[in-house]
Amino acid sequence: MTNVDDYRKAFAAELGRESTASPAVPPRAAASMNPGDADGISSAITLFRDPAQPVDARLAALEQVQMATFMGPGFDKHRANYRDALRAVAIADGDAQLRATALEYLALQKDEVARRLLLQGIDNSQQAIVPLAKAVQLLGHDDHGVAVPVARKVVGGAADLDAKEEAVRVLASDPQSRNVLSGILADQAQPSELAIKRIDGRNFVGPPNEPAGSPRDREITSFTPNLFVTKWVDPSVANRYGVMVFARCVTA
Amino acid sequence: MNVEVSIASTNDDGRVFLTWTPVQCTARLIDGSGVGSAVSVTLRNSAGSVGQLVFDTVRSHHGTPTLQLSLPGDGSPVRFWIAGQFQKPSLDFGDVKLEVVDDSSAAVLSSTPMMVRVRKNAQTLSATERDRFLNAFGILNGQGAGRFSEFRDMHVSSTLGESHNNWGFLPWHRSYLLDLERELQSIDARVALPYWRFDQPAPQLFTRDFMGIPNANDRVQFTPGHPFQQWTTEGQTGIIRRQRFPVSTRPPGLKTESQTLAFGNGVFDAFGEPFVGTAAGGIELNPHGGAHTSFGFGWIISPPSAPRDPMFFLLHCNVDRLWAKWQWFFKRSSDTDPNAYHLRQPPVRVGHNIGDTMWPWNGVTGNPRPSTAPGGTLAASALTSAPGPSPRVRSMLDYQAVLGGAHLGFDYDDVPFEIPQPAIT
Repeated sequence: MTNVDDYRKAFAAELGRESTASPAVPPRAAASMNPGDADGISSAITLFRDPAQPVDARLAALEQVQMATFMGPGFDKHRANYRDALRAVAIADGDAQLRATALEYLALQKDEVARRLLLQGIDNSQQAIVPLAKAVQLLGHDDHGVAVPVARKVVGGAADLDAKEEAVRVLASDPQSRNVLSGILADQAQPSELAIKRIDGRNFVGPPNEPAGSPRDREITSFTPNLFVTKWVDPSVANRYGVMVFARCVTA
Repeated sequence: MNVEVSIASTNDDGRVFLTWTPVQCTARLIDGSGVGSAVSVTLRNSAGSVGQLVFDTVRSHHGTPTLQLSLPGDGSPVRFWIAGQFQKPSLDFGDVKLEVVDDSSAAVLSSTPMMVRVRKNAQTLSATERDRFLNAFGILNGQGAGRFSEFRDMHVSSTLGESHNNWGFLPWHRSYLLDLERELQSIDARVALPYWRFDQPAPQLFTRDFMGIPNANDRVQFTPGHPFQQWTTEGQTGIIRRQRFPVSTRPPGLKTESQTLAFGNGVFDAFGEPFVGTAAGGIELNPHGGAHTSFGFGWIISPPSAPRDPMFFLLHCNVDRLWAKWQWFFKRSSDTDPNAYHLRQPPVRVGHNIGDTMWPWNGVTGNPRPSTAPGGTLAASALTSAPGPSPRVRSMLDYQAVLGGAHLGFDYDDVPFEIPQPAIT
């Protein structure tokens, strides 16, 4: 049985190795303290923005500033400066990693310049700062009004699967895109996880996480040893594909 | 002849949940032989118990695994205290039973199943505990339609002044976690919020079975059927979180637990100093801020979006645990102790002074408070009356009631209950 007194003594010994006579300044921050920058943030933003500094140092400074955003209102006086630095780096920095990181951080803030840069990159891959999938994802976080038309274009185009997945996720939260999604499920050549579901004596096959009879299901209208007949629940998809009949052929 | 045991920490459904904090109980004979025929009994843990109990006749931290009582034959109740034995929590409800045994016949006169339920290191959870927590949290999210949306709305851009960059950072988040945990317990009473101990590697936490692993696009992946597969916030399904540090390591640059607790030598005005940029600051800066940004990208690195990721709550549970451990070690539970909380004049922003009620649970809206107060009052618990529907900052300090009164109903696996002797000065 743990004795609380012994536990305390052991913990005191552990703390004794770390205790300090006075509050210590985290070593990483020490270099940023100067009389004109009491909280170190302005210096960190300047360092992040400075193309003459090593990339690692600039990324570390960026992280320090991002940590500082947890000050909430206390960060407000730095917000415009931070935003401008992120924009400047995202638009024109010579380092691709820094540009991408800056753009990601800007997009988290739902920044209009980030939105413009993302759309530019989607329209012209030569100008893309982040991969298409990431661009669609970030736009989806930003503003659905902008993201949905982009997502529909990506889904209907020749984009890679990652980009299409991100686009489908954007569309999934758009009530107007339900038919598009049903069509995607019907059209896709990739295997997807399906489950057999029952309700009121009827059988369905479809995504496992949705109730039986959901729009993305197919109803099993007939099942014999040699024939399997389904019909899409969604009327628009059913009109397009009709009744689907799978027949097992006897091997010769 | 039987014994009736009444325990203060009993849920609405009659089940008993304990922490390390002693709660009051009574035992009395049923169908005894009348006045003058007292029966000697022993309270003990049932054989094979996972959780363990300790007993005492007074409220103390010196409980023992057995306790002998003399129960009057006329059925008069005898008071005693019960608690979970420190570092012996349950895995499930009923894995420990309080047995009352007749000392003369060895007959078991009463057997009461219960659970020693405490907040644990997520890295150490059993698969059952993990899944129980995830399931409850998934239900609370309700694919975006559940009450989780209100918790999300409590921590957005326009509300950060209530919870950050001021002295009330720790008490506000303690109340936030408690409110969420009680909601989870209304779904499954066996659940306690786990914590991400971010100063140690946590490979069990960053798996598809638990908090997920991101793909190349930072979209967190889960095993099929995982309750978070349909996690939805603000109409968007899925979680965005990069994993910049290898799961076999801990995030670099964060203070260890010992460094965090040693900072400021037991003085809250250093330990809990509001974050002042990169130049100074206590726990809010490092390790809290650093833990958030350690992932590299994702909702969790930005204050307005961070609670969209359920990982936020495990991160903050560890921040709260660090405060709890600091409070225990330095004996800083009193709301009149200037070393336990910032008590200096002049008053600071409303919501952060020791006697202030806290938004949103106080329902106060309008400048300087946010324009809405989502979520209503703080969730009640059948196990304790504290902290009440509209907690004050001071309500959050003595969460174990080491100084008396009602406890808040939670404990941490590695922070004991200890009634302070002379305080450390």
